[in-house]
Amino acid sequence: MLDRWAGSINSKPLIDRIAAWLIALLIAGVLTCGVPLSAAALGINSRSIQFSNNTPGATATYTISFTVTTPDTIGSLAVLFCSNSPLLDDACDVPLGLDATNSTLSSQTGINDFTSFVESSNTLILSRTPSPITPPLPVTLAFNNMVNPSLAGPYYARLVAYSTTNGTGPSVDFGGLAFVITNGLAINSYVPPYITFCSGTVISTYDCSAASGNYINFGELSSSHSNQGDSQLLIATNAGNGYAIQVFGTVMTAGNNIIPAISSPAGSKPGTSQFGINLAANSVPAIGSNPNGPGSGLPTSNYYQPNKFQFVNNDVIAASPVSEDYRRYTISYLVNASNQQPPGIYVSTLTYVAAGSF
Amino acid sequence: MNKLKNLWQVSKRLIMLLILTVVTATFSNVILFPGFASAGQVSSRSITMSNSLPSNTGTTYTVSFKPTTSTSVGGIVVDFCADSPLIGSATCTYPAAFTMGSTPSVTVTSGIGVGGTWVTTNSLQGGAGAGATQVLLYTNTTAQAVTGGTPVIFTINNVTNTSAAGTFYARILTFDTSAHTTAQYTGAGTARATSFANMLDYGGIALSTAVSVTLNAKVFESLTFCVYSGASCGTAPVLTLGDPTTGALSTSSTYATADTTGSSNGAYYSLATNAAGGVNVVMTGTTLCRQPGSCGTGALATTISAIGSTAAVPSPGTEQFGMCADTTNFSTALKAATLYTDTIHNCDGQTVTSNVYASNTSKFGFDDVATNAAGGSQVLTQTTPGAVSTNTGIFWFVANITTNTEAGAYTTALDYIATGTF
Repeated sequence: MLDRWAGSINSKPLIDRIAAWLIALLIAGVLTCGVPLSAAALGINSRSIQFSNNTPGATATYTISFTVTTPDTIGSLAVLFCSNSPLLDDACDVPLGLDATNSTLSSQTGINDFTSFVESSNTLILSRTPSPITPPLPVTLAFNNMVNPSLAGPYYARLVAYSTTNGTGPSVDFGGLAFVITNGLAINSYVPPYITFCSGTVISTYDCSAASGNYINFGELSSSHSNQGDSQLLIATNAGNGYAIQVFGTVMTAGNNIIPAISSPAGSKPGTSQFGINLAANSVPAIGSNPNGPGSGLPTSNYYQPNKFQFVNNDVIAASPVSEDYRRYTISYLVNASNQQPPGIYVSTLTYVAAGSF
Repeated sequence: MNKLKNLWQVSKRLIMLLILTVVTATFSNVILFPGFASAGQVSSRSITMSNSLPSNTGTTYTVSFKPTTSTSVGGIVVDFCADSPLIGSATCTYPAAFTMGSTPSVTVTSGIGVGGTWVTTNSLQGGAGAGATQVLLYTNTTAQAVTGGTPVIFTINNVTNTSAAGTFYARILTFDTSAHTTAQYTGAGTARATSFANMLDYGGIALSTAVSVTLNAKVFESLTFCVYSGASCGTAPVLTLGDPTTGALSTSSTYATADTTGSSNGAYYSLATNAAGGVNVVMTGTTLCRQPGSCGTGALATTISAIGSTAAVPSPGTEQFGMCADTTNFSTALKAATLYTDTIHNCDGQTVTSNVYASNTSKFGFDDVATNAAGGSQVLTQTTPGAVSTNTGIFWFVANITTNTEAGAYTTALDYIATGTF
């Protein structure tokens, strides 16, 4: 229609065209400037909305707070969520993904007699028996099970109070607010697995670089007294399920002759050929010490009995169920020989293996 | 159709008449009045209205004109007409509802002497109703000096504008004496003399009243906030806290997520609002956590311990996860909460090389009891409520581990919630 009108005007003489366009401009000016926005009462102040989770698509609790500053009669309150505008006069575009249909009014303060709750995908309507408000009245309303919009960005809420009980008729109070849906921040990190383990005849500090020595000489064995020696182990690991230390090796041998191992915890019996170890502080003989260091691992029970020794190949001699800082174990070696023990140079090589359980 | 054509013709004529009137008023200084050969036409004449709304009361009219000669003036006439600015016209239609009051109030600004006594009591009712005046007669029995070419400026106070929107006119005349003024300019009703003896100068002026223009504008409540890495707001940021290649933390070095030169590994935020009550930002989530197990604070958690509710400097070899918030780009009103305020370096100006935080002197905090609670842990707040201009800041994160921090992949998802109070 406008095209046809413009075409007809353009075919007129210049004076006609000028007059016609002046009239059109006058009409346009009246239409654009002479229609004020509606002025709903702006008696809902200090408006805010707090999210328990504001990431896109999350199910969250919305806590809406505001203060009613006019003594209006309020029978219902509508909460509209819009993606385009907070203003009452504007059309409301439903935020993509926002869903209020399963929400519940979980708490209310200030006005605490909202008795019914009607919702749609982007509208919550609370009803009460109409009664006047004594201003200023701070109000807080919490809604559970709100589903956030699916896209990050700014959104708006409109709080509209009515004197009717169903959110209809002219509004008595109004307030808009803005909120924002934000992508969360993810931080990834990695703690590499490690296990630090060393052995030596002496480890003076909780540091494997301080370990020294790997040879123990029992000297000449005798049937009248026991012979003993010791070495140390140091371990630390961040294996979540801890570690286990096993001993691998043989009893002391000289050719085909052996000094038998103590197969179950037993005390020292000079005059009886026996070979065993433990990881405890002993008094008979006076040798060894209990584990020490910031870690919490312990010897296994058969190897943690003072004055009792045992040696079983492949046995776990110490363990920890959790990751731990440095732990130092002292291993005591006990050797006794009977007077029938064949002569010879008896030797044994023991290997300690620590396995982390990550 | 014929009626429409007639209407169009009438409308067209009215419009063109309006245009012609405006043009005439604008260029009226070229109109000549051969009947007053002995007088001159005042130049640069104008009347400025303090308010042009129809029927506006208390309006001030500032009259200005340049006399043609330096002959002393004993009377000034300003006659307001709805029909014509022409001096010599036999009529001066009364502008509806116009009045300067029963006795006009005039204040001389410059250009004419103020000796003797200037009075307005001789002003004329003209076509106005009782108690109102249409014609100002400003007279002085002692003629006052003027200078040809120097503007005479005075104000007429407390004028009530005509109620009709549109153009109306004023006719200005000056006389040599007060007696000649009152004797010569004696218009009764809307009739006017067509010639005036002893007139010195004259001139016509066009004025206009206009309805006010109502302008509507919208300012939305506004809150923008995002957390991002890289150049600007966009997809959800995923940061690595550890060695740039392996992602691994160390017992000997503190790893950080950001540096002051805009590292791609940084966590930045942008914030702005027009909320009168200001904005605050809280953070929810857990400390760095390894699955399986609950990542919240609890017995099943396998976590890198948070620094806690008291800020501390990073300490390699100690299990720590912490954050500070840089707000140096914002006005002083926006601050980091105490726990996340680096009192040493304002969470800024420190060296990070290959994600390793070199100096370990800034303070960091992370209250995972609060971040796991419903309200979260407050990160940013305002000391003085008010709008916040768009700006950006940095969230720094650091982590340290001990020798027995359980091996594995640790993650956390932190949610930053900005709330404006409008």
